[in-house]
Amino acid sequence: MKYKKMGRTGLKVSAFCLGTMTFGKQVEEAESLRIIDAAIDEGVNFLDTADMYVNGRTEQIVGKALKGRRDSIVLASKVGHTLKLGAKWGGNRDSGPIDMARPKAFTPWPGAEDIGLNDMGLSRKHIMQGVEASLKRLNTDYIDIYYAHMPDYDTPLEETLRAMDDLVRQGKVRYLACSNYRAFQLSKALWISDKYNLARFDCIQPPYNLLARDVEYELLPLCATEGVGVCVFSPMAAGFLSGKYNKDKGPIEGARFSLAHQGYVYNQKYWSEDNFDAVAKLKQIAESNGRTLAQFALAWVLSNRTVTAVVCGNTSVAQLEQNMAATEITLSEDELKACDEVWSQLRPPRLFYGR
Amino acid sequence: MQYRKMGRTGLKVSTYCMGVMNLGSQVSEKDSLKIIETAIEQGVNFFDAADMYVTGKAEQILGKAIKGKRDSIVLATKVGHWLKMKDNVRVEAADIDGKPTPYSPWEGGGEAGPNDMGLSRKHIMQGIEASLRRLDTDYIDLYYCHMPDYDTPLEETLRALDDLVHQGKVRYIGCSNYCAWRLCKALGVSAMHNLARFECVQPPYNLLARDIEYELMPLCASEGVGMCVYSPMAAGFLSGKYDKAKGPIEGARFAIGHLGLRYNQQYWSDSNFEAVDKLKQTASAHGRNMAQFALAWVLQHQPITSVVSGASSLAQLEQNLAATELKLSEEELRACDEVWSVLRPFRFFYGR
Repeated sequence: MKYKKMGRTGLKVSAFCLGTMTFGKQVEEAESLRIIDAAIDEGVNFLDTADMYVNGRTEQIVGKALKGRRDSIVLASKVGHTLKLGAKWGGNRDSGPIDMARPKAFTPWPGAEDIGLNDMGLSRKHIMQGVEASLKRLNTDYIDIYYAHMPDYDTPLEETLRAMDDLVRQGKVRYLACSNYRAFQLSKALWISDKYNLARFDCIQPPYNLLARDVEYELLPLCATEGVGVCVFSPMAAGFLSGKYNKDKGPIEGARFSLAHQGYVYNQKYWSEDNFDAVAKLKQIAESNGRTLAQFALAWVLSNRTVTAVVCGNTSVAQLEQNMAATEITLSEDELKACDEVWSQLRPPRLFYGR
Repeated sequence: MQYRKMGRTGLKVSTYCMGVMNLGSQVSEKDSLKIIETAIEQGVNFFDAADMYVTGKAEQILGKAIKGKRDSIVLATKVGHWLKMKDNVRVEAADIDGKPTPYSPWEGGGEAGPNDMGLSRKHIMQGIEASLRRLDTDYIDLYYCHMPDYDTPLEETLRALDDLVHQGKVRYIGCSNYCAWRLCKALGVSAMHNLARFECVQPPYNLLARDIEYELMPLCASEGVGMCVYSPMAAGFLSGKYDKAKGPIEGARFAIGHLGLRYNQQYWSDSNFEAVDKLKQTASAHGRNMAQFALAWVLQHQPITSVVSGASSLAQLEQNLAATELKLSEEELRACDEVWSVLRPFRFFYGR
């Protein structure tokens, strides 16, 4: 297993970070525990969870699995998820400009419809309550990396960072991080921490894969410059880059693309003609070099030196072993260039504003 | 003429900002003076120059034109341009760390030494004096960093610019061609050290290049930074006067040597020609002239302060000025979004 420093920090994490989002739901508890065991046996020291995964069930399973070996593990969890309505100008495409004046929808995630207004977001109140609940479920007294799960436009960054800084001082959290933030929001958070001498976001968790490379224009240059770690989620485009989906056949029963809520979300994101074309081309590149597409896709993400780790979920021990092996693969210049070709078809270059 | 506040500042500027990049080269001095005079008569109070436009000539003409009416004008100019090897190609993460930086001056600035470009304290102090002399004035209202200089710490650049504000040589500072993360970092450096901050940014923005909507525009909206956008007509491409089969028109922007090549790369493609065709249809279906439609579309976006637009004749100026009064319908805006979604197909985006 390869280990990397997380950004400028002294923390060393395995390049393979075990994602747990499906534990307790798609993957039943017994198999989840086996997967975690196998990962740790192979040298994985980095586990990623969140308070809202399967409404807390996942954290409980992770806590059970780590019993007795907590200190050798870098345990990450998240707080403050809310389900947002689409941005005004982008319709339900969540990539457009944010309308700062838009009235905010307080919508909890599916399965948590009953929770109150202060049971989500990144207010001091919810963070303090969230960490206690996570610690209890994880059955531990500290979290190594505590993520703000997504930006909360209703709460000043100062409030969020000060609350999270207090958690660091209280010994409940070691490092702070954020997920799903835009580059300008992370940049602003970094200078607020600087200005008020607070712990800063030392890691960010964005999606990044061969079919979704937008982080390369703003977010990765920021992280490279400021020494912020990058733990990437969706490195395989939610399984789409495994090549197992077939446009004509439709989603596979039980796999990520056919799950109700998430199935819909992932569908929108990847299920398109040009993504299927891209996957076909990528498969060819991978296989002509004797690699499976899944391993190729993971190795490609890790080939970017700004990336610290891939967050990768698994539904079986067999899948886990295949995925972990990908971290040892180094892609050639030719392979990387071929991937760039595919991306420039998906995202034809337009005049970019930053030089 | 409509006027808007520049970001959170108290400065009021006309939504039409007259760009002078082509004055003294494509447009003769005599015509330039007449164009500027007419613009001022029509209520334009905002002029945009740079030290390197026509290697100083544009500033000289502008200085001459505003003689005697300086105080009613908001005068912007820029410092620190240099030509990057991969100019106008998107910035890759790998470019930032470890990349050796080439010191290449702009075309016509071949004699410039390594300290005659970029955003060091030395060059800024030297650049402002030269601009003031050419503009024949003792202050600049809005002084832009023309493009980021990755060799100079932001602290050095901002402290030098802050000194210019204290010295009375500059009223506000701005930046151009910056990424959102770097502008945001600059705002933080200013806040941290109590320095003047970038109150305005000048990015390109038009119907064929809308990338600022994902990071830069929300940043400016949330922090109250003004946005004066250049290339609102994609360097004339959105006028609809170009024909792919015929090739560039003699004397127009796309036919000019160095710049021609750059604009060519940026816009001269099948997909852009198709997009312009569709946009033309939308414009004419609503009884609008394509060029005016393109300008009006930019100004419709709330965080935008002004469009920086050049004119090569009085007729063109009048046409452009009239565009600032137009208001597009929801239906027109949706049609434009459609065109953009073809040019830039949706991919899973990282920010929520």
